[in-house]
Amino acid sequence: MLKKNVSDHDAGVATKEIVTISSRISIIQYVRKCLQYNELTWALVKKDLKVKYSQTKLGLLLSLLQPLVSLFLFSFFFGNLMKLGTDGSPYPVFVFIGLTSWYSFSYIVAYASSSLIESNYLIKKVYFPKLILPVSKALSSLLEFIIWMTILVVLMIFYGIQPSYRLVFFPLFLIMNILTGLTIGIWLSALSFRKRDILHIVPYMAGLTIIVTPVFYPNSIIPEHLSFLLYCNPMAGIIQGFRWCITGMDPFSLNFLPGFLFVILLFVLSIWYFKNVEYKMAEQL
Amino acid sequence: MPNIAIQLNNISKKFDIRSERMISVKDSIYNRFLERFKNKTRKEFWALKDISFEIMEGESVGIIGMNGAGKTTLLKILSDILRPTSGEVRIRGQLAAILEIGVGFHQELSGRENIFLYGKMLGFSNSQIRSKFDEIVEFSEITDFIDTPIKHYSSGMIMRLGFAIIASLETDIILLDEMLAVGDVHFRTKCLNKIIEMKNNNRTIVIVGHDMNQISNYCDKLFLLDKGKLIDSGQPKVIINKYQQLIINFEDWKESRSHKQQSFIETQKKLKASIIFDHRDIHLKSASFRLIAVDIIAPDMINTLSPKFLINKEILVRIKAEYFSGKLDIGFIISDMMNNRLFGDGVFKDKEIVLSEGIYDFIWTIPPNVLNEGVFKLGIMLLDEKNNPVYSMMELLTFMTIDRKNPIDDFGLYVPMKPQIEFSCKAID
Repeated sequence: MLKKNVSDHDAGVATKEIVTISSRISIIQYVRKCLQYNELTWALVKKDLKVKYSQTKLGLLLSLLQPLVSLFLFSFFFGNLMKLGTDGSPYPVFVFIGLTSWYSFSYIVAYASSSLIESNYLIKKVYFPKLILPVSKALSSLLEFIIWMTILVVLMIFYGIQPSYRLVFFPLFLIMNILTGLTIGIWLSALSFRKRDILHIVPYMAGLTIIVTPVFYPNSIIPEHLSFLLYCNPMAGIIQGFRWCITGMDPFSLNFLPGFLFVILLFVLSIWYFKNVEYKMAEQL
Repeated sequence: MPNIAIQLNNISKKFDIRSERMISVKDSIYNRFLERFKNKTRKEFWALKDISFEIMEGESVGIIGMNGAGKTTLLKILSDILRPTSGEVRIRGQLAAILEIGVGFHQELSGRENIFLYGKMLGFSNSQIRSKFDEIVEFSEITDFIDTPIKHYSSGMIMRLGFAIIASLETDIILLDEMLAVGDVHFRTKCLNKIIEMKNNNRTIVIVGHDMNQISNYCDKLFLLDKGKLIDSGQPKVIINKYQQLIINFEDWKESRSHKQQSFIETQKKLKASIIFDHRDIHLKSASFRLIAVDIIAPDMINTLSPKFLINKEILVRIKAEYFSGKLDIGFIISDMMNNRLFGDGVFKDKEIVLSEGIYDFIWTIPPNVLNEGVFKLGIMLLDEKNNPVYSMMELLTFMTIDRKNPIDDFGLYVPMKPQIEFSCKAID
């Protein structure tokens, strides 16, 4: 029996990988390592969702209620009372697409940025690439996005809006939406280790930036000479893009593209920065 | 020729003491500002310094050392939680580390889900975990509770589950931070057997801990760390002996306090073969006896009072005490460095003697060839009528025994006693 084990073992020798731990690792190696842990990422997503929806029986109901209430309040105050116009689509559809994208973004920022502090006990005791933590949080917040989207579908049927062929671009904007949230989330989570008070300003910033993003007002109310400010805001482009591809009634400007590219650059930088400070996290707890 | 499983090349790890603290944005700006003027230097602390060693495949290795020797830092570097400041580690094969049992578990999830979650954290795939699932559940003895959220588990159950996952999922290398000292006797034995089974299956095991007794049970080789440096490595017996001496010569005990401030307990940690008690020391007085002095002596060097003894010579324990009346016993007990009590005796125990009031020297003779080479402690106990200790001082004196012969005739394991055992062998047929 023992002999058999030994020979089995010898057969396995050739396939064994040699891992080198030293003080430097390249970003490509790091990303590859993260991808090796994809099963863990999904397991963490599953855990997050399970914990979130098992602790409260109301969980699912609340996540339906929240978009419905905001839909009602925003359409009533901004659409009916203040009479903010749109660029084409009916106001409730217009504002709801904006809210979906915006909330998805701000959830990702909030969850991803606090993900490391939340799991600090893990960081000290188990090894896995820590980038998985903010990423899994971002992925688990997608469930909310899906819930909001189903409501949107109902809303569009109600208003009799046919989705246009441009819907093929939808995944692109969705990816940009996640990427933007994740970029900020990763930066904040990596910084939060040294300066924990950074996390306190996240809710405040989220509340403020909804004002400067065309969520409940159309791009057209911004004067021509200030529109460059709009193009600097990637979220404005993403929301506009969603509207453009879902309803086909709102315009999309290619001026947003540089902003998108900038987000992608920042995203790569955020992984690079995260990788560099990853090992300091375990020390600084 | 086995392969190298773990190779460390000149590993050093520096901690920046100042940056250890969590600082807020405001503080850090403030500090940076102050630094300009004060020219403050950061305090550096080298937890590990230039450590190099190799662990072969299938070897089980223990890393020992005192608190702060860098054991856990080393383990964290091996398990990739911390990055070395300089140097390189090469690891051949898959490695799993438990630094603390149950740390990857989530309270809200069931046992089943936690097995998968934790398994994946250790880098296993779904299918690997599934194939070992039954084994894990069986080993951890929680079959009936496998679908209950673990917040309802007892701490013992969580521990069993944690160990079962590590032990059953077959990594080539397994790192353990002394965690086996927990759990009931039944489970501890089970863990121990599992570790021995892993060893027989040619898995590489690295254990870190203080408990020399436990470690020497299943390690082929020990590494001794002190203040971040690798002092020695080799057979457990040799290293444990060295470690015991290290503890005794621990400089801080000598230097840290001035003589007056030294507490009674602390003075005993050094090698010491004799002690004289103060009149006022109320503790060391029972209704029958008042302790005056205790010493350990070798018959041929009565006056030198050296705390080192040869194992093949008699060792005498002498208690000087004043007897009043009654039968409240006084006794001594010898224990080894790991605080295993070995043997002892009392004045009245199993003896028919009558004493009259006065001062006596009570002398016990430990026959030659009883104690092995090592460090031992002598404790004193005052007993009541039912032979329960009313007062005991387990580490009163510390002495060392030396084996003049080369101790290669021992097994690799450390044993505190070495009686001369008669041996014979007969051929049958």
